[in-house]
Amino acid sequence: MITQILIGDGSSLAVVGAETLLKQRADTVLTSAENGDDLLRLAGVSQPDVILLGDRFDPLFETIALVERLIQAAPAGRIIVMGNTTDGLIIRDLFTMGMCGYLALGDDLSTCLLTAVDTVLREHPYLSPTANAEYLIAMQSASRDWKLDAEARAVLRLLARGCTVREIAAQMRLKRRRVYWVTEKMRSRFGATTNEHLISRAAAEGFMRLPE
Amino acid sequence: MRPITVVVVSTNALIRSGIQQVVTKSDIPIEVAAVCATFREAHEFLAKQRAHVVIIDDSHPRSTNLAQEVKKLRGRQANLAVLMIAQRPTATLLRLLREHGVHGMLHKDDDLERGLLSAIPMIADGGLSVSPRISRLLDGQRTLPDELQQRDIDVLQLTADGFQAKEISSHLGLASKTIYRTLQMLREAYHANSNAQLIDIAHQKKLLDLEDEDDQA
Repeated sequence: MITQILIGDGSSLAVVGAETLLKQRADTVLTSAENGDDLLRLAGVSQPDVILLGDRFDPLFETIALVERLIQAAPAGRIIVMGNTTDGLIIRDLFTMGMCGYLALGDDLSTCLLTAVDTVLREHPYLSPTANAEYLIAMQSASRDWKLDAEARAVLRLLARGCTVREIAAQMRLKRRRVYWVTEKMRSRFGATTNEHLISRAAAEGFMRLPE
Repeated sequence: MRPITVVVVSTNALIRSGIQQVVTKSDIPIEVAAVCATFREAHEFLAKQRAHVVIIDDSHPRSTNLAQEVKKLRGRQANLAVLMIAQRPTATLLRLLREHGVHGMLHKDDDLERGLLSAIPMIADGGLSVSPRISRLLDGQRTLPDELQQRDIDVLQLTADGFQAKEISSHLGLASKTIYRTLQMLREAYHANSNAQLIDIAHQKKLLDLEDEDDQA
């Protein structure tokens, strides 16, 4: 039985690399997409068995939104995301939406990729070693049910206005520890490594210009 | 004709495999002598064997001092040609790499399959190969606000990308003090109380979108 795999990745070299590895599978047909629109079109037309999606494949599409639309376009396709994000909460969100596998780019994908494809084809989820460890840590943490609520958005706005944690705590009548905690959760939510990165990511996603 | 021997350095296994595939399927006689996940592996290989070209995919950790790594690699073999695939290109870094003897530079958004095959023979022969996108960045063909220099924009961009001051310092080959001073000067210029506010203001003023605008132009 033929397995159809559709590849979407921003790096042409990574696409060639993935194709080279996947050609080792018998009866496998590979197709690659140029951009997000092309990926959605090809997914709809060819109804692939597996979709291999590079994180930030197309700057015009957010990965989570692209996964959502891919599921609509090809409901039977098993989606494997490859990315730098090793935040367990993001991986959890992607699984909740219907992603079947996640490969952390820092892992040795030359050994993981074929296993990932075979595993998702058997209808089992697959996580590469680093992604698996991060996912387990996130699931055990108290923040697993955290959402970007009004409190978090207020902290975000004050951070962007140059307030310190002490000032934010005073203005919002919160403990400083709470402000640190909310900031950390937001960094996780936006996949940011620093507060500056958080502001940049939030601005890119349109969160900074929200009405108060 | 003797083949051009190439060493590939990338932390991403798919990129390593992709580069290997692209160069070996070409008509040009190129031989991939080693495929390395770290600079350490590349140093170990080059301590034992010679190569004509090292291809570096800049997907290494943020704290990696690329210029120093290039210097060390070329210290092993003076005539070693270095081809860089820049993932986070900033004018400051590219100029530094050029000063350290990088012969070829490709941008992550270039047609890398074609770019690699045209750059490898050229730099192996002692020439230079710089893609048009990289040239634009190097030549600084962009209009900056009067109060800003190219280095300020690079520091701002890396800060917005989540780099800490020490990582920016390693990445751009500048002293940590210079990075702190640049950020302080920018905070004063834009009346920001913190770096987080500075980044928000930079987004509002579209200071961080210059490269994209140039690309679209």
